Amino acid sequence: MTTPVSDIVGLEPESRAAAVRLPIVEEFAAGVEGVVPGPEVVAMAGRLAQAVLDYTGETAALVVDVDGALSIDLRLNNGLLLLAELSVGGNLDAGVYDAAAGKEIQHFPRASAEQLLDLLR
Amino acid sequence: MPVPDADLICRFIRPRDWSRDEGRPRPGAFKDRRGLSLWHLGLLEQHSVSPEDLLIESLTGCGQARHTAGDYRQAAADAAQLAGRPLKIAVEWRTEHSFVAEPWWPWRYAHIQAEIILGDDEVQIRFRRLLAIRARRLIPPNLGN
Repeated sequence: MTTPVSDIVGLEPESRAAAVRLPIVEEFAAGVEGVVPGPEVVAMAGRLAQAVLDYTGETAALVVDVDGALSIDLRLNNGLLLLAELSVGGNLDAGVYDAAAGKEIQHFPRASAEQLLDLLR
Repeated sequence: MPVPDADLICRFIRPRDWSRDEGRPRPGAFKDRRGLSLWHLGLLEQHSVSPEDLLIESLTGCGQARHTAGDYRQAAADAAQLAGRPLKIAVEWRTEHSFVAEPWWPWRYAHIQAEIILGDDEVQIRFRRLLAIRARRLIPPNLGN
């Protein structure tokens, strides 16, 4: 059973810890070439990963890139595409795209977790 | 030497960089600190070589995202315009050993590199996303089941 998205923002510490244990988050937390994300960044990755899991029912929309960033690539219910990446350093860059037109619709270069979670509501 | 805008080029896409749901590369497929390694489809064809012939060693099982060289330049220009900051790229022939690893040396005549000359992280992210959604033709990688 997954946690509703509406509850993610206010996750209790135990639930947050459970979210962090998602394998994709563990992979992100391991870092790349000796550079590892801080605990706050890993916690943010956990919240985002859990929200994506709640939205799509699977983690296929999540991948850790070659530079260690947690990458999100999923189709929103309105047909637009959500592309986001959380860097090892903690910057979250999110964008909404019309894939058919090859165009950017919205862009949040330094998004908060809440901004991204809003897009999934 | 710059590759002409109209020339069709191919980026090999590893299975983990492919979105099964969307049937296209993820933006991360266009990340590489050393620049993007690309192949000129017209030159391969002239030599009776199929792009699939290059799918050996670390490229085994890869798919393809095909753009023109001009598509790369246009994506860079659009990303720069959206961000309001510059993104300069070079899409050029790179046939030296420092760019072409030994297994692919026989086909070095068709090797191209797209390198970021100037551009901050934000504009580069936008560039990669535009490339991911603008390919002219896509051939999926071998995804197993």
